[in-house]
Amino acid sequence: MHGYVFQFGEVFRELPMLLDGALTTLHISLLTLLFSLVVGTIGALCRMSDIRWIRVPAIWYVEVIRNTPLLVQLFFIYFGFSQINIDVSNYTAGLVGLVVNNGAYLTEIVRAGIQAIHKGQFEAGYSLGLSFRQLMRYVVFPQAFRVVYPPLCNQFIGIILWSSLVSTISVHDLALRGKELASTTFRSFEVYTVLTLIYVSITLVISGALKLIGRQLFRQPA
Amino acid sequence: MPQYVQDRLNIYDAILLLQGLGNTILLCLAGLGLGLVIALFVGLARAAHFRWLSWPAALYIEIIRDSPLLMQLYLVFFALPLLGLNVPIFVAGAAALMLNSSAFMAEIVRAGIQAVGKDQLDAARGLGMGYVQTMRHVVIPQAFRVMIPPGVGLLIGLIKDSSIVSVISYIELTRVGQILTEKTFLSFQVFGIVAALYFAMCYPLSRLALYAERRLKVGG
Amino acid sequence: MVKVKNIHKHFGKLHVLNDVSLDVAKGEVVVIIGPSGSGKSTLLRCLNYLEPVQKGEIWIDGIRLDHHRTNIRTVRAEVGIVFQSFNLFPHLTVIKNVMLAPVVVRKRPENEVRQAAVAMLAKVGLQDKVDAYPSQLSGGQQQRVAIARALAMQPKLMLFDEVTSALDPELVREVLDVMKQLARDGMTMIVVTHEMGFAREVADRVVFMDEGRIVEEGKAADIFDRPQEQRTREFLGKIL
Repeated sequence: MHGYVFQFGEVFRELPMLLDGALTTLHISLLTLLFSLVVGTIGALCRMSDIRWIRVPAIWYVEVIRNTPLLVQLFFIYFGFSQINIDVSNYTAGLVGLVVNNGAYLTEIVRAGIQAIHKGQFEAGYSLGLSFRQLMRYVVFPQAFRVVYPPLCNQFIGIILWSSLVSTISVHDLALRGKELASTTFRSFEVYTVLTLIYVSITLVISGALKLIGRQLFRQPA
Repeated sequence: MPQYVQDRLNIYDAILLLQGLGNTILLCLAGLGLGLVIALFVGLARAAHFRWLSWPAALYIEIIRDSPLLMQLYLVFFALPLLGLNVPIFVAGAAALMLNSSAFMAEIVRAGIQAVGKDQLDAARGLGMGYVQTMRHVVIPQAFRVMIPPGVGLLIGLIKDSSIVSVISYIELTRVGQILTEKTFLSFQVFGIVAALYFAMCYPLSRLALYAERRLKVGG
Repeated sequence: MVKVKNIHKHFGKLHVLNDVSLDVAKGEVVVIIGPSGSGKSTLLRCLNYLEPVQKGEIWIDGIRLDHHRTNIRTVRAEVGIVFQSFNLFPHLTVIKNVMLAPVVVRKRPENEVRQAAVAMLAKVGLQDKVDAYPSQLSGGQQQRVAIARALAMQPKLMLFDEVTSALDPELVREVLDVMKQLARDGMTMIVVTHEMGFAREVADRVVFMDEGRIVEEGKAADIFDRPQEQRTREFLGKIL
């Protein structure tokens, strides 16, 4: 490493720009989580349906997504939009790709949550006269939420980390800002070290906060 | 100047796809091979009762798990020249995959070791076996069985992760997909085929993992 | 109150209920006994449409129980059921468990329902466990909460599906006492149980089922002391 002097100062000077990218990363991740939850809940209900032509496509959706790389899915959707001449922003294309991807994983998470609930709960609810919607709202989803919360938190952290791939389709998130900074300063090593530290910090803070929230929400006397 | 745009895929493209597929497999083998070795050491360290072993191991694992693979790839790719090593991009890619998978693999190793009940250790000690012997004959064989389902899962993840090496322009399967799409603008077809090839590699492995998990429950 | 006419039920190839007919009058306490697999639990679960029947008719308090959603919901509001595995809602406190259905289904105001719920819990002897969670209670206590929860809907008919079978022996008595009091208060009850002492003491009628059919029925004393059918005698011989 002779002759190379580390210049972290150049990186720290541009911190505001990087943090601007971090903001983009955070809000695309949040939107992805919310939309994926919707997709995942619908997917879980389809997955558990008795009707074959609803259940089987849902199974295939999950299997295809889980066995192909996210990057390929992103490219498929991003270049696919231009192939069929639909004009969307890179951000939107990236969001769609992330939602399609995470929707599959959330399908399995929500499904596990609902199936964790003892069959007797459904029987008791129906016997008391509850409708399907009331049963879901007051009995099933509160219990499913407890089961689903830890894997959901993990999935959210995963979303934040993997959202970095949208930088490859020119979405100005933290990763792309870093890449731009690296190409203007030629201090690639310093830039990516700082970027990694920022990602690690974001991850640790958010997972810590989620754990605390979880402890508060599910606090029950022992 | 008129640009020649190909309107359908031809045999040369198919060959390129196969080459990309081959390079993907090479990447995965390289990443897996050394990654396993590192993972074994880190995993054992993590499970150790000595803090000066388990804490550095935990730190290593935590940093890798909490940062994107993309960043790790860039770091390796840009760090290696600074160390005076001018490596081909294959090595950079393989090294990043190796580092990344080793962290997750280490956790699997740790879980496998800790899954072997304490009574097993007591029995071994009672029979007069030392630490290394206990590890070799009692813990590791049993831990190995537990590690297979998540291990196969990790392999599937590795195959998918290898697609990221495309960003440093290594001609693996995903990069071939990009090249062909730029040429033909047939994104759905090209990436459809690329996805199908990844699926063909990963799906059988996921069935295997399910099978292994089921066998594990029965065996007891 | 309850009219069951020639019902048949299949689980796949298994003929679980074979031409079963039963009438239960208001205020009557009917106990159903029989070996496992005889269909007694299934019969009970057909009475609030937890299981549909393939043939025959079921009438509860003048309403025909068929596949029409409104009929099912009306009947379910009038019929209370207590399960072997309690099935309390673990994420709600005891009082919330009891209050949920009257508030959500009958749409009564919360404070009115709360008062009634506290009274109901007092009736089963659990007034001081109002804010506890089910996980903090013993099996017998949980089952009593389950009874209170069913009673909160003010049902005209109460069904009990082997409610003491999952309890430790010393906890059985407290649940049976609650059921005896209910019977004394005039509730129409259909009870599937193995507790023969309870049957003898409280039942107006005892029904013996085997292999999906009603083999014999009559007054408790008649069935236990002078069983007419061979199969009844065999069954009683094994358990008494």
